Amino acid sequence: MSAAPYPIKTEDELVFSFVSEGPRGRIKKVVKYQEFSPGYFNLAFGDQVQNGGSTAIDDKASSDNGDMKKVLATVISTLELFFEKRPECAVLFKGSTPGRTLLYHRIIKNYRHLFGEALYIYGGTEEILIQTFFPEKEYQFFWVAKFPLI
Amino acid sequence: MKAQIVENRTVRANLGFDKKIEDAKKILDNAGLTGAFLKEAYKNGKTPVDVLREHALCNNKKNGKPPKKAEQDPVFNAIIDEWCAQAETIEVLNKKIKRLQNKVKKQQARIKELEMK
Repeated sequence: MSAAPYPIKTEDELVFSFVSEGPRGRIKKVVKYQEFSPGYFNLAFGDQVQNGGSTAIDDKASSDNGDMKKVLATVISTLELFFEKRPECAVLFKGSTPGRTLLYHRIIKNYRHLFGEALYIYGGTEEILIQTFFPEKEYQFFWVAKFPLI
Repeated sequence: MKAQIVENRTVRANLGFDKKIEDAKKILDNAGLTGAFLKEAYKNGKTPVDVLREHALCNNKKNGKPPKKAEQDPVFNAIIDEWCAQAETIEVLNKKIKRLQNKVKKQQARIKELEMK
């Protein structure tokens, strides 16, 4: 991995947090794996926001903290930790808006090498659930798995 | 005012995640991987990876059609490209700034050392 990830704090088996550091300051980021069907998880990622005693994740936040590569490397590290305990599970992720999904597509296209050989990434559309990821194709969501799905 | 903004962000965040879970379920449902189907597969000892692999093997062949080509929106693409490039540049500049700050610190320490002598 060319960008070193931030130190990760494991909140529980499915929740990880880290602090992004950059020109906009220190921003607490949270990666949460939400099981939506047994063995199938949704990857939720965003800034941690406080509301009284409770916390939530704002996945529409745009931090622009100048550390995108490092943040991505950290999210990938959480995926590796996740799959260590659940190698046979599948993780789905989708942007909170079509624009953000397109942005994720672009980030995957540019930084696919960060995923290394330990993880497999696929695209998906309404018509075809799992497809080999091609940079020039359009996808509505993405799959990550520890083992090849195609 | 600030508290109100944070509160709004929280409400937005919670709503967004409930919807995402629903969307994710719908994605599997639409592909025929309903809750009942997945339960049955699980009973038969199939893992999610097995189920998705089998689904891809059967349906991608049956479907046959190639995935949709990305809509070419040159303006949007240019904006995203620029945004990615800027993010990279900021990262590089941050590293440079850190390196220079370290240099300055070292020089200041050296000056102090010389002044002491």
